[in-house]
Amino acid sequence: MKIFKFRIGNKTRHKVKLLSKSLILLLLAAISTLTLLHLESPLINTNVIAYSSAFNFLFILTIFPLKGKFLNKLLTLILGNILSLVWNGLYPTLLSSTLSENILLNKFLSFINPIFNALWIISIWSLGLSMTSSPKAYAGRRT
Amino acid sequence: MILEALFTLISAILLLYSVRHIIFTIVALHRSKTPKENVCEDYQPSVTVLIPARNEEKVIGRILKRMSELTYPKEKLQIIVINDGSRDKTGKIAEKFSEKHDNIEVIHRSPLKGGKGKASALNEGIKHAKGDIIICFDADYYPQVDIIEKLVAPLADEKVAAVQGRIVVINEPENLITRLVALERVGGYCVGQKARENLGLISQFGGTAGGFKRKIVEELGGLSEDILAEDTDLTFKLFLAGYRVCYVNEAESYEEAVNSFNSYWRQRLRWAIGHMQCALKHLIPVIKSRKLSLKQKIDAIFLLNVYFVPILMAIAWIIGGILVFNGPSIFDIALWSPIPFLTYASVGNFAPFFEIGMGMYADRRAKACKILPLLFPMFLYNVVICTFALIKLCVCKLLGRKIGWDKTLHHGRETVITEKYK
Repeated sequence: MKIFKFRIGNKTRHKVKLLSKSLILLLLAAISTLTLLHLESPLINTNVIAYSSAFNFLFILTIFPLKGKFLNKLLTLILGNILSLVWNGLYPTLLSSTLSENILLNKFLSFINPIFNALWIISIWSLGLSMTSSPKAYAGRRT
Repeated sequence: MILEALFTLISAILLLYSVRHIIFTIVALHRSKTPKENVCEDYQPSVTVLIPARNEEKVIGRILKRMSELTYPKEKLQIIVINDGSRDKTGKIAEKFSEKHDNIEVIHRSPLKGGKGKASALNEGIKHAKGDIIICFDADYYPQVDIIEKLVAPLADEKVAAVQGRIVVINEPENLITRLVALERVGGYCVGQKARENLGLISQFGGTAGGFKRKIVEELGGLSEDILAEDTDLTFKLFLAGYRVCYVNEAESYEEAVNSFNSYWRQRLRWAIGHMQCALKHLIPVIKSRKLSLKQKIDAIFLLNVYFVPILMAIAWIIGGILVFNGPSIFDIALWSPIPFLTYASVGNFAPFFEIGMGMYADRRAKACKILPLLFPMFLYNVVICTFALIKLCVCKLLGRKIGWDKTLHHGRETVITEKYK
């Protein structure tokens, strides 16, 4: 009977390590989202949870498995969540203050909210990506 | 109700495009090597390099000098410059190189006969070509010295009829437009083309920094002169005839990117009209084809319709605005919310932000990703270009007019090529 031995190379080990770190973070993000859902703070609303979850999901799954300083990635992730909390927490306050006064402005705010959210998500994601260090194995050779 | 249904339909189409690009990004990142099966590195057929040039005095010398430096055996290499009715010194410069090098030839077309587009010039070159393989370069290109070896290797496979190399922007640091075009190019080639090659989908022949088997293309009637995107047209003609196009990421060539909004408009308008012409010509044959697999058919449909995406996106924004300003109900807001995000999934010559970002990472230039959010204004510009292209195409079809070729001007700037690369 043949016994197959599986040897994991350094590269694979590194990839597995990064992936498991990302999964743990993703799990933590999911737990914190669920906890936030139970908090009755005026700052926590559906928008905060929806956009933060989208950002965390995108960032953790795409940026964390790449090479680069873990602390930089984590700080960028936190920065994104703070931005989400500030904008999406502030947005309903803006909305409620303008609701009685200006309906058109209220509608305008409803229209631009997803645009602003897309802009910050992509900007912070790009910032996070620019902090990674690229792989050395790329075959491109410019001669 | 009708608006909401239309909005849902458009959102679903845009979502499908995004999913396609997510798949491409994952595949390109995790399958970093191009499959090496059927690649024969000892394969050295006779090759003819075609360089169509019209008023290219600023760049023709650079590419011809490079041609003289190629490592491919000189006895198997014929270089033909097609001086396509130039009114400047292009012909004279090319003649000087021809006198010095035996394998460089120049075909002169009179200003009356020339200027009918790249396809017409290439067809003229094919008539004089002696090589089994035709490789095309635009006059502003600057390829690697061993690019011919890299490009011809996959052509040893009978089923591979054309090959495409990677294009890198030569004047990237020049201004913001060239930087953004460079980002688009990285996303399109390093991720889009690479993933399509790895998945066995429709790898695209780009008309330059690539080549094809002369006999096969001659049998298919040469390059279509009535279509502005003769390269995309050839890609589909080859796939529909049962052949395939191979993408070689390692075969790199520099190009001069457009550096002003005016040049960008002219170039992209030509691409958009050409691509839309291909969609009208090949969509039904693709659906009916028995030579394409199901996944190739799906990819072909996506690829053929890609220049309609910005128009769909613009419609989605307008309907989204109407719904939100008329309501807004929770349903309307829920429908509208993902649209701006999906817009960013179609920027960069239709490569989404994550595709471009991952391409930059793989290309070891992740730091340049900081300007990625600025692709949004370029996308808005593309919306106008594609809408104008569609209107122009419809008007020309109705009036039976032929759409003329609008040439991109090149300035010969080489901000990237340093002594190190020479």
